[in-house]
Amino acid sequence: MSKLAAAVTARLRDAVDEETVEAILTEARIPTSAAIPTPVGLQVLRVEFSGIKLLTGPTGDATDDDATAVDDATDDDRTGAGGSGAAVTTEPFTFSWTLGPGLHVVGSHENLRGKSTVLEVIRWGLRGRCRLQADVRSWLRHVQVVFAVGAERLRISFDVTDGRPDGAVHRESDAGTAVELVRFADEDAFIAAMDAVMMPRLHLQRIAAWQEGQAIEHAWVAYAGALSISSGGLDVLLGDTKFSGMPSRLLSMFLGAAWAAPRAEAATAVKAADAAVAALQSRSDEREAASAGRRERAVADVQAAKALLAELPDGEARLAEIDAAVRRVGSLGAEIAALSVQLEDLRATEREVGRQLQDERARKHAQLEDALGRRFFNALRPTACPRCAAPVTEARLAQEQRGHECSVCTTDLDIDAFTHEVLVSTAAPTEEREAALRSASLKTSFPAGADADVGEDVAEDDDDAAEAALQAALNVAALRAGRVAEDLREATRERGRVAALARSGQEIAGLLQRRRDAELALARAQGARDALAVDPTPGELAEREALERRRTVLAAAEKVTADWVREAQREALIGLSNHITALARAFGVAQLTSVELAGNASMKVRKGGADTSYTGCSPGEKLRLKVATAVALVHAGFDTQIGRHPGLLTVDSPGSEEATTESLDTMLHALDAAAAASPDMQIIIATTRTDLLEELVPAERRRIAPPGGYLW
Amino acid sequence: MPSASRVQHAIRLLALLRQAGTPADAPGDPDGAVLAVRSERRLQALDFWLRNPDYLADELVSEVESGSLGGDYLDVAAALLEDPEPSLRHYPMPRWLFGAYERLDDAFAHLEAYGLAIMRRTPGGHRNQFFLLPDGVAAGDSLATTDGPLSWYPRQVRLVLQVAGTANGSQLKQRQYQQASYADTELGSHIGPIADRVRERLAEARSAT
Repeated sequence: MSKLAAAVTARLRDAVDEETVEAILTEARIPTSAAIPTPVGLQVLRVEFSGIKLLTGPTGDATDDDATAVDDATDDDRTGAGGSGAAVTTEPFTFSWTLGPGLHVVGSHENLRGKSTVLEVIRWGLRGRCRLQADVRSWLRHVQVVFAVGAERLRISFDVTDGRPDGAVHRESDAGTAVELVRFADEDAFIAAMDAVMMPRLHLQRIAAWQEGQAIEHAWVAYAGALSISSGGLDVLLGDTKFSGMPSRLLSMFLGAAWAAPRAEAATAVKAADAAVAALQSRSDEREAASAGRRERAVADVQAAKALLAELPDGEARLAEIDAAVRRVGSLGAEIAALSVQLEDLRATEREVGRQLQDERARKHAQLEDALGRRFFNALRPTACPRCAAPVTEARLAQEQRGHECSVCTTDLDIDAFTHEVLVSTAAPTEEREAALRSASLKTSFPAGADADVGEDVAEDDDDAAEAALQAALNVAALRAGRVAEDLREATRERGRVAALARSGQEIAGLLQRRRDAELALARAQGARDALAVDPTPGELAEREALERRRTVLAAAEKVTADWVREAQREALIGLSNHITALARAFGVAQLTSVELAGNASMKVRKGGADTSYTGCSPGEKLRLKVATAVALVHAGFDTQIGRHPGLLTVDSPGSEEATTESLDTMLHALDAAAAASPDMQIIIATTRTDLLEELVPAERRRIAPPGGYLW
Repeated sequence: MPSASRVQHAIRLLALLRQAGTPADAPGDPDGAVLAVRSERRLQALDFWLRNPDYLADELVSEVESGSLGGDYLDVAAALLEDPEPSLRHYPMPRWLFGAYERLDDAFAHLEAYGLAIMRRTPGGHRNQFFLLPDGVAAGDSLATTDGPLSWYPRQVRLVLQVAGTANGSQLKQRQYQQASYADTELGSHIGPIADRVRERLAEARSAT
């Protein structure tokens, strides 16, 4: 378990376990241990360049800029008259210089003699980024710079074609052989190449920064920028950019806070984690909004499907109906058949009874007619025997009227019948006798329009009873037949109805299909609606949890490392501040009481009894403070063997800012003393103070333009 | 199916003789005879229609169809079929070898006993002739005016005579023979009613007019 992980876990009060912390830190590429950085030396060993000057005179486009080889505006004197004043001339040039540790100077009495170019070429070879002015750049044809990096010799050599570098980096061995490390064919490739070569050799860690929404890495270009000081970059105490908190990071790096790089990584990782959480949230919100719309539609679909289903009649019920109907048709058919048979029987009975009744009536009518006929004939006077034509005599008639004998055949008459005025013989057959007696009991008159309804027939109750019985039987039969006929009609009607219902089974098949389809559609809609869950899935929740835990850990790591950096730096900064104060005073910053360099590379300056900051100082003061800071940093690194300043420093025209001769001399002296104090330090200065230089600096350490001439 | 009594038969004969008889003024006719029916076959044929109203109705329809009688007689035919009276008097006759035949001896004796009618054989001896005497004429007239069901017979005889026209016995028999059920009846069994068939013919005839 790493020290950082342990400290983070402790800070989080064990809210997250150590193993998880370790894993998160590793995943974020935050170094969980920091080695005390020891500086690796960087020195320029040799610089060579050659090219062809292209000079234009005052008659052409001659301006100050054009007529000189000046690269930047920090040179001594812009108004310098320099220049030959002739028309376009080409002038090949070459320059080479071998350097060692300590103070080196590039000087010329006048300005604009190419001092800055030398420094800029060195810087170009060091960084890959070119700050030369366009015309000088176009003059150059070949550059070669050799550096000592730690124990290695690195040769950077390249051709310049229309200002574009094209070359390679070689490692030179003591034996003289060279190993090509990297090639490059343009400036971007050159920068990347130097980055790849320098960073690991100088044990420098990349500085992660969050700029404009993304993480970027400041690497060698940024570091190297801190190694040169010129009048144009005085806004920033360390380095040449204030973005991304570079000065404070550089300070941390050069001071050698062991945890500076982890802190920077952690800070960047925290920002990245924040961004990830925010992205997750916005994704979730988007999805929520999108699915809200989809959910609404799904709910609406479910409603529509339900409504459709409700509209459809229940097919199952209809099916049962039709089933029942089919069965009913069958049973009704049997019923109808039975009723038909029954009706036939009843009708037959009816007819039979009707016939019998008719027969009975006819019989009675016949009896009536017979009786009437008898009466009719009896009213007549017999005249002769039909058989023998013997006449009926008066005596016989008299005898008959006395009730004794038949006047025609002289047979004895029935006395009893005679008393009822009926002429019938005792010898007559019974039927005749009865028929004769019937004629006696009739009324003599009849209602007009004689019909079958005989008048009162008291003696013929039996016959009446028979007729009445038959009539009653007929009525009953008719009634029953009528009822059965009605039942039959009803059954037939119902069968017709039910048969129609059964036939409608065809529609049912279609209805059932539609119903099944609607049920399916409802199930699908419900499924779709349920699938659009409102709540985040467990996966999403877990992801968010993990992200937030990560952020917590990373934030804690940042705090922990920041604390450590601050702590480590605090003491160093105190010492550094004192040293800077002493150097700056020595460089000529008047009335400087003290400075207080903070961990974030801000500087409080106390001078003249007033407190101000670095940025509040004058350019001349800033220059001196900046140089003092750089020197102090180098010293601090190499003295304590803590820190990563490579020990190289270039200063361009320190005398350009409010420099009195004395102060400039002071600075030079002080720089010389500083440089001499450490064999690992190399300071290259471009200045116009050539007089002093001859005293100060040995010949091999100085390149001075001849009076009125150019360095190259 | 009841059969008519002797008395009823006698009444029928009286009615028939009274209206169907022709003047008895031929030589050889009995003295005092007023009317005569010289063909027993004709008498029997007339009696057949008298005692079978449905056959009479059937013949009425035929007469209307052939144009011998007017369309009004269809109503008469309908009445014959539907009124209870005729149906009460439906007395089927046995079919004998020579057509509907029922012995009328007993019934005729009734008339003879009261001196109403006499029967004589023709001089050749083959056929019977029936003569109505003056008392018979009077009795026949009083029959027509009597109250009650008996007066139906004289009325019906008039209708029968309209149907029969002047056709002789054989011709009448032929016509009756053609009446389908008549022809279908087995020898000896009674001739069946044809009311339903007549109703059909009636309906057809009605729709045709």
